[in-house]
Amino acid sequence: MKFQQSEFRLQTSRRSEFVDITSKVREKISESGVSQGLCLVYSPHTSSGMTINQGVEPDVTPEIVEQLNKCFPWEDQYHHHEGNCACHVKTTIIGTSEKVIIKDGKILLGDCERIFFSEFNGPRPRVVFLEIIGE
Amino acid sequence: MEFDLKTTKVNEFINITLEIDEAIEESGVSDGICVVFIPHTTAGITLAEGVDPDVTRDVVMALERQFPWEDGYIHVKWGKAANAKSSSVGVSETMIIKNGKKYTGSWQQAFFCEFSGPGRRKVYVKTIDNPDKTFLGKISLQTSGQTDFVDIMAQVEENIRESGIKDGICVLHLPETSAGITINDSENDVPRVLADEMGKMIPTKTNYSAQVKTSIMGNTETVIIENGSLLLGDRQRIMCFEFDGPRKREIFLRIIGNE
Repeated sequence: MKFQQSEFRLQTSRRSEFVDITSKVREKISESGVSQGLCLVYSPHTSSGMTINQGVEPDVTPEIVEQLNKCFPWEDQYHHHEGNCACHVKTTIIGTSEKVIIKDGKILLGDCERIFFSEFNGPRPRVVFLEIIGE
Repeated sequence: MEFDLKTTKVNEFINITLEIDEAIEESGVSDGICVVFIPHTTAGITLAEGVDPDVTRDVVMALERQFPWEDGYIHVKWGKAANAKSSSVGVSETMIIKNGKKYTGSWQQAFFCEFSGPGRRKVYVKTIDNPDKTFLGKISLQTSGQTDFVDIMAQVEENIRESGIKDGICVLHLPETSAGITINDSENDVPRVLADEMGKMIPTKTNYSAQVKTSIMGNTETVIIENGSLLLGDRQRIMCFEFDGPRKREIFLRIIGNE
């Protein structure tokens, strides 16, 4: 069975935004030649996460961003000297990785589902790690 | 592999990065993946900034404000908000192993998240490097309320039996955006508390409230398989959590490991 590790870079453009990385992940899976397996999609940062959610309706992810901002406001009584702790809290809540199932060389996702890199402290250059496992 | 730890406060994040590094070294795996799993319903795991200790202190504080210990639950023996924190943060993390070491960001450290301490706690570490089998399974179910939960343990176990895999991991994914999967207590009123806490955080009248809740709870989970059985805590059950029902739901399972 194959274990193939790769990574790619992206540039986020706002402080908080969800960036659709599905096509990039699809491309890497197709390059790997794995037809049955798993792909770990991993953000190696402490102020950005990974989530799978609705990607067809353009209003959905901005709403998630807004609700998270409401729950964990940027300005709060945080101790951390950089004063950006809301981004760390959101990262812990959303999580830093997702695993997707590969079936017949394709990602098994729902029709409306997309994989989103979740920026909580941008804009900045970011990297995504992938581990593709399978045969 | 497993290790124990002792927590000293009600809410506390304990850095377990070294213990995970040791477990990976001990496994001898050079390239593969590592799943770290917390077998408790009132604790979790997260990868967070570990250089400035104020960061995790702030995360603990923000979670406590979102899910207050005594909020409406003063009549019960323990704060069920702890279960809600566990389901939001999650009980597992999966990391890449490269050249015998975990391959993470330079600021990332692994933290055990205690939400109802102090107490003795356990952490499971599973490394995978040379699986010989993969299996794809499916679970179909029907939810019955707008918010509902369905215990899917029996179906997950059935799929593992069918796969013949005795040693490995199982990844579950509910490929829709208005329902999640979580591992928590399915008794002691916990699912209702989870639904209430989620509802308080993201009121139903909010646009796309089901989608927001799904991203917070997550619609994937990873569990460890050892000796043909799920390696879970005594109280832990795998549940599908409906936020926009009633509906038919399907969950896919990818099992990877050795027979």
